[in-house]
Amino acid sequence: MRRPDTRQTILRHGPVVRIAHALLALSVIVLIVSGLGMAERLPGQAVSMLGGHVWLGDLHRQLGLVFGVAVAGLMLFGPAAGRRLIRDMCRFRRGDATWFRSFVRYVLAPSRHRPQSHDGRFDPGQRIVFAVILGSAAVLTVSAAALYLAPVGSTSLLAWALRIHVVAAVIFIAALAVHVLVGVGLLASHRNIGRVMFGDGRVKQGLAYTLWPTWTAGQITDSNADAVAGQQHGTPAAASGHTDLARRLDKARPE
Amino acid sequence: MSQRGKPRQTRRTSAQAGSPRRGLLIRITAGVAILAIVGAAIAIQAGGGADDPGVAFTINAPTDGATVSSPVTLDVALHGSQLGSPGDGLDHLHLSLDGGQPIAEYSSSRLPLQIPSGRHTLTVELAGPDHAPLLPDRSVTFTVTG
Repeated sequence: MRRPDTRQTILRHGPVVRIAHALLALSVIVLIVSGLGMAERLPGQAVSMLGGHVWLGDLHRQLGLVFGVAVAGLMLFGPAAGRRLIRDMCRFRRGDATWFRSFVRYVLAPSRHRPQSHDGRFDPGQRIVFAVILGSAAVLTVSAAALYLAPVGSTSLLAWALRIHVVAAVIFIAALAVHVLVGVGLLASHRNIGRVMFGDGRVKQGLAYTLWPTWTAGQITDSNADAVAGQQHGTPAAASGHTDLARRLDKARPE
Repeated sequence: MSQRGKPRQTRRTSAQAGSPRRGLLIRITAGVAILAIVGAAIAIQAGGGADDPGVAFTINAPTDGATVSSPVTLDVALHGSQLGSPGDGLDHLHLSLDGGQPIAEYSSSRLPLQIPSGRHTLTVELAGPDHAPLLPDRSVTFTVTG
């Protein structure tokens, strides 16, 4: 396995994923703020500045409906890569449990410790946060559907749906806060990681190898294979790192 | 060895052929369910609570065209509805003066309002625990004297 070059960067997320993530983040921020404003959990002046209780309520209900349908539709009928991404986010392996202790040591002293190796596209900590975000988002969606569909006057059903919605929202926001704290690169252990989603999508090979060793090794191997294929076939596309093209060229090569 | 391997390969092939079809069927079923829920939600949103004949409200005071002094007593009579915390599944009022930003009132349907002198229109809306209006809003226009 080739060791990473700490000066080089590696592409973690392409433009489609980064744009989708930005749209998702924007929608979630609007839903959280409008939900808090509607429930009068923000200062009165802030609620007033944001358009008021009624306007925020309308925004929350209508955006929530569109958002829920769009996400469910994309998950069901969107590209298979999206479903693979969700599977990668939530798949846990034996041995992941012991990773956490090493990760805490790494976060506290990144220059002296390294987290334990794992073979996921995301590290076990990320996967737990993603699983909580996805799980609470599913509960939010189901409880919101119950709020939409409950008959007028069904006090008990509405109350339960709302309580579940609020508890799920609190869990969702807490998990999201962890995701944001790590993802913006405030921790010394994750310095400059923010550019992965809000920059050019690249991360230094050294950091990538520390956080996602197997995935990084695979990417480096792939890019080496592309370069080799490019040299063998003399195709600029393969030499420039077009993995699929290089693989197809390789398959098409006569034995 | 190769004969043993063959049936296994056949089983795997048929399973692989069935899996995408089953996956598609599940996705189509889920898609239809989502569409049904969305359709029902839109119908409920568009229709408000008008389907429920048991819920109604009227503005008892101030009366339309009245001349009153400040503080103006707003008295809303509720039928089939109870004000309270949305967390308890209860309804609330949205009050708006002269088309301004509505405020929410959760506790009482009878309350004094400090309103400056002049002619004003007060709009009242009954909202459910999800903050969606249950019925079309009602308005009264009145004059406040100093």
